[in-house]
Amino acid sequence: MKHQLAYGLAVLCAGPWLAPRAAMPVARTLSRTSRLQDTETVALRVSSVLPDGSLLVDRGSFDGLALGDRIVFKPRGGAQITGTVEELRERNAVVRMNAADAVLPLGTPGEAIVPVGRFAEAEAEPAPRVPVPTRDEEVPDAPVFPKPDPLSGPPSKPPADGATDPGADLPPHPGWNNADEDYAAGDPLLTRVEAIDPAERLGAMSGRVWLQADQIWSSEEGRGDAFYRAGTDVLFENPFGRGGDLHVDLEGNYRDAQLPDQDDDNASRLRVDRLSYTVGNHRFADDSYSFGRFLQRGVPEFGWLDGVEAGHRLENGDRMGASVGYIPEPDRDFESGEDLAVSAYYTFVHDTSERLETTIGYQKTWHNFEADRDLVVAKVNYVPVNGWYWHGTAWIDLFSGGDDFEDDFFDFSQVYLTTGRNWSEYGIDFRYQHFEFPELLRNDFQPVLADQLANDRWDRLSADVWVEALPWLEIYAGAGLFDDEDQSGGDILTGLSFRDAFLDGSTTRLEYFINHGEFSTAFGGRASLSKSDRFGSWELFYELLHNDADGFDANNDDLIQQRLRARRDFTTASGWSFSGYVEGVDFETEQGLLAGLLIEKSF
Amino acid sequence: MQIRHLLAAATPPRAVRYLLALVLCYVVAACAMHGEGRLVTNRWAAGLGPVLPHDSFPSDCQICHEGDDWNTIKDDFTFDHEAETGHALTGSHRTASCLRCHNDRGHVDQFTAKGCVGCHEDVHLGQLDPDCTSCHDDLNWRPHGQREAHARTRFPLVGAHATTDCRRCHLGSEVGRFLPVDVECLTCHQADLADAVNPNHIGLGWVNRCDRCHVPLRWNQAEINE
Repeated sequence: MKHQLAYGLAVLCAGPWLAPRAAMPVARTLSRTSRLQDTETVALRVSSVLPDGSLLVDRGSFDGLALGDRIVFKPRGGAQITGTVEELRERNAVVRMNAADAVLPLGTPGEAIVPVGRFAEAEAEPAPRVPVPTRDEEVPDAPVFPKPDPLSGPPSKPPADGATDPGADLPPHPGWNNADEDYAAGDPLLTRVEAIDPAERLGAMSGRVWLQADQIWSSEEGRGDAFYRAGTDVLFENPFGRGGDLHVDLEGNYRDAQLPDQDDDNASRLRVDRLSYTVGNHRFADDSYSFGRFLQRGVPEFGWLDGVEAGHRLENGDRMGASVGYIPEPDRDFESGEDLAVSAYYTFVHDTSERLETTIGYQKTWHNFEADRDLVVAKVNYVPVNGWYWHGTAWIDLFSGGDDFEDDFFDFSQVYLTTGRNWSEYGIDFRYQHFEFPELLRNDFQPVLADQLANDRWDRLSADVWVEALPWLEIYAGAGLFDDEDQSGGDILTGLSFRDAFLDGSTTRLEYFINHGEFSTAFGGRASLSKSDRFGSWELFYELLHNDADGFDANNDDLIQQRLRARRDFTTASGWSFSGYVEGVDFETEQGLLAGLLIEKSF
Repeated sequence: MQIRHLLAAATPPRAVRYLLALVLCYVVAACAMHGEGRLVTNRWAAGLGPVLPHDSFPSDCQICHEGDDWNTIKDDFTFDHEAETGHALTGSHRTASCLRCHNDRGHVDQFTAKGCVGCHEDVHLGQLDPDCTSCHDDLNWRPHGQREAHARTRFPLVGAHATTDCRRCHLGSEVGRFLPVDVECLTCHQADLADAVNPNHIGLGWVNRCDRCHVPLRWNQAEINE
């Protein structure tokens, strides 16, 4: 039954291709794409199975069908089953199956080829369009009694004296106050969509609560790690009737890291990741305001903020905004109150589709009221329908005389640039990343030494490509190069991905990789088998790695490491999700065991 | 000064303050939601018509709808998104309400064209791959395979590092921040250096390039590098 219903909605998203909108009956519209000389194809669906085995289809005489028409049904699997129109109504028809034992599920598509002449009369008289008032125009009160519909003929005569009128005692129906949208007589009913102001919506709540436990055991005495987390992330839409969003994201956690020969590191924390209220930022409001703790909307690269952000959308789609508040330190404590920030940005959009947009932003910070960072963020995003996409972001630090280790006026602290393109059977992308430490008073990074500030940098360039060589085989490969203040190196990865190799619906991957890093050269292979099913997904994974520590001549510079992992994810229609994994690591005489569990409820 | 000390003494610990904020938040939200029919989940535009064009749908409404409010979809409603549209829904997208994506905010193509960030907030601040699925499972958003991905950096995870939690090195990982970490040993092992007293590493000036003597796999042993 479920699968049958799926057929019934087959045109949900195929509609735009199948049914260009026009002031015509639905079936006519569908059939326009398949006109053949003097016939047209009327697409239809099985909407009901009658007790005697005949089928009710969702097209009738209005759509061009006639008694005796031959209907060809096309259920999944490629078969074609025929029937004949036996009864005809305006909007539907009863079809007798030519094969008495044929059983078709609801929603099964079909078609009838009918003479085009049946539509000649309808085409000769195009439907008039109804004038539509704009949103700003005041809609006059409708009359108490609706005017007679000219398309439905003259109004009926009042009942004769003494005749029984079942509706005579009913009060008159009040007039309709809503104006018709861009509706034309002949349009299918309920096709138009009226956007609703968020303030007019019913309140809604969505989000999740979750529990997560991760544990690491090691055969090395005194080494282990436990990390337990619980949290909730809830979005209240229109909670106060003003169209705003209230967003709450909280996490409590406990950690216990055991280190050999050192004191254990254990602590518990309760962290507020978000507590914000936002108004605006929708099609009915050009202005938006956010208060509380939130991720800045205009330029997320500026980070989280305890404060207020205002934004404005211009008529041409460009956006601009500013924010002020304290920025929490981006670590596990998320403490705030030391770094005051003022930011502003401007986003240029090429058109309202926003497929090309560029942003420039500036952020000034003070650490305990002492001038700290002058940061410029520049972004570009280009996502064409067909073509190479580009995403680029640069964090540019401006320096003044107060900086001790920076001589230049500005420096690129971080750069992220990616471009690529996907075709139907292959794709490629390139990435470039650059990082160096900016000189900050704020605790934005781990403690950075003067030498690191002066010299440390890291650049990486990589490329990845995939090819769907066969319907059941994908080949993928990647290569990368890095260069930092000390060394250069690189990595290569190549692999095969087989579909349905061992199990239907499964994916089997075989990979080879090699990496020349800072301290060692590692190479090895991986094999994995994964499968998605109606409950979720599972994976079995194995890795064999040979690590050669660079610069060692001793016998133990080689290390063989093996990893074996099993993972299972469950999800239910009611919003529950379970995810668990167990991973064993074996390297020389030591072993490690990693396990994790996540329980989540979405609502 | 006394007043300042009094205020400091009266200020509850940070965790308590957060807990109070949590309670306050829920109280405010609960008050705001109080009232019959005020908070209704999984609905959209009730009473004002469908938000999806229905002009290409089967005319038998009862194939999908039941009840008298048009917001209730049949319990056994299914839709093969991949077969019917060519776009497969994976992970939790399969069980998400249709209206989360198909609504009157705009055509879904405009959002999906931007990739994940078209719909999902980028908590990594633009500092990681824009394709979230390269790290995350879209079933429950849990990241998988990070140790394999690390083999494509200048510091593949081997030995003891392969059994170390990410947060031990990436201190901001708990709030989504995975910036590159200096791979010099002392970035993470400053305390180990201080504890190395036999022989006294600091006294002998052995304060950098630990890998000259230690294989970076098991720190309790050292090999003499010839």
